Amino acid sequence: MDKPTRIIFSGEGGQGVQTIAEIMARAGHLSGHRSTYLPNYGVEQRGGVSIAFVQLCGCPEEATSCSCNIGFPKFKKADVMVVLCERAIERTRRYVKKEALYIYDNSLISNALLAGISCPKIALPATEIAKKKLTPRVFNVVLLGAVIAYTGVIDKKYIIKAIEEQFAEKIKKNPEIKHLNRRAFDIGYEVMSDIIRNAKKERVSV
Amino acid sequence: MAVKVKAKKYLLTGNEIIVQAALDAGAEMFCGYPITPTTEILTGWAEKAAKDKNLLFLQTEDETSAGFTVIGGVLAGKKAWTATAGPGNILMQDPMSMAEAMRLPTVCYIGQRGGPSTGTVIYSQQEVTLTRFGGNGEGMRIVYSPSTLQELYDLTIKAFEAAWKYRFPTFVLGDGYLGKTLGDVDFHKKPKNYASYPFVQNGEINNLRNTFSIEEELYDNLKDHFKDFTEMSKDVSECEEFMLKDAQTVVFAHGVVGSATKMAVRELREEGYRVGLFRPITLSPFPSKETIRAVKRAKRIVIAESSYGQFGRIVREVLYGVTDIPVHRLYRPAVGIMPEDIVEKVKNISK
Repeated sequence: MDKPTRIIFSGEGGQGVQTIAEIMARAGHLSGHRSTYLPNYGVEQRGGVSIAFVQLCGCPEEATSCSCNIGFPKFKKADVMVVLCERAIERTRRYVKKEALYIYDNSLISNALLAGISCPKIALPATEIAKKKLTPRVFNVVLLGAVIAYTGVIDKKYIIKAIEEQFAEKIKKNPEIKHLNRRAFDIGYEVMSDIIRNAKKERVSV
Repeated sequence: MAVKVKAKKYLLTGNEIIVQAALDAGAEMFCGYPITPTTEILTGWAEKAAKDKNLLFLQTEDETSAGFTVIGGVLAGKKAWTATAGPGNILMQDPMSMAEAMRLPTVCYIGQRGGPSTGTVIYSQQEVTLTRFGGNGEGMRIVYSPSTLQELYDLTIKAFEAAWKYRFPTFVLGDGYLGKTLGDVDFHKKPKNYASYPFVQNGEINNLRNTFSIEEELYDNLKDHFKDFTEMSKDVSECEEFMLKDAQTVVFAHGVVGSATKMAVRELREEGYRVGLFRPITLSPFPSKETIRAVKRAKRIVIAESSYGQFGRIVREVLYGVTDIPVHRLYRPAVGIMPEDIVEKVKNISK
């Protein structure tokens, strides 16, 4: 029985956490990997901590049936944690396991606050990168790129298609949005791929 | 594992799936009042109705009114339905009780949320008693409890079929985890689509009663309803029996907790535990015969639910006097039950 890959995205409401989670599930579906996405938030209309649970089956794309144990949409521990604001650190602490990878935006979160998180961490200044190279709005898609590169389950081309589906209405009004998001994704993907390559050279595991 | 040809799957949220199922079952009218976690059903239907003039939509001032307008639609021959949750489910009870009295085929989706009162807005299994028995009366209602997105589709369609075939108020008892989850579903089923018909024709008198002057009259009337309810029970009640054949531990769970339990059973089986799942698909009428059969060779029972025993009460009532094996409770009101919780519980009690 195979275990699916489990990812938690968390941040402030409005940061686009739910959007990138949905794109990931959509891309999973397009590529033939079973996937689920469950949003989680409280009674507040806005301004709360927003959490998204994503599961992705790891069976090969050409597999005609999947034996991943993926029936229930929520889970206790994540393989990858994506944390985009300081308030989310406490809210999501219970989902961290020591073999997880903790990806956070260090342009928004100070490293000192993560002292108690014991799993491997990767600091990715997504907001800064997006601000410098594109526009701050797409910083979430930079992080999505990093997650896709790290998990390695979904082929890039499906993410591109999922992004186009997700923003179809917006792209119709402003075609530039498609390119911005694609580039944001590519940058995040490359940054993470570099980190993985360097880690392999130095023989440390990320 | 056998190689199967993949069916065409769609990626949708639970709430979108429910709307699609209602359309495929021939629903024509939705009256409702928005409430988390079922609001997207109302807005989803409103969008469809804006494009298709054959579909009727009404947002009412509250859930009580929503229930009564659904009844109005049904009386006029429309396949009318609604969706609500938590406090809305409470307000809906007066009209649903009336539908029960008049034997009207109303269909209502419930997205259970935590309570009492406003509670939490996404998840619980705390509306079992309310949905089964809410309102004055005896709870002659059909209640389906889906455990997956696919079942949300299949059972919503079945709810319309059962409602119009047997004329009892019918409910699909889901929750916000199911409703909000985005996942795969396929629309393979061709629904039977029991035709709707007006209950009152112009110039005709059809006395569907919800008022009685004499107690004995009501009693006679209820006896007829009970007879009908009992007769249809064997055709309507459904359950899933998973790996029960040699199971020493039988876990009882319904709805989405049934899904978690199934995952737990697979894991435990790999480690050699003889454990199985009994999952009622209908909470009313309850699959009692199968429940009794399921524990015949068992050494212990676990009841797992996101409520403090609302489901457990039903199971224990059915098993009263049938068996004296220990009953372990995994009652976690208002929070989800993960596969890990069930694995841990089964391991602890199997020692």
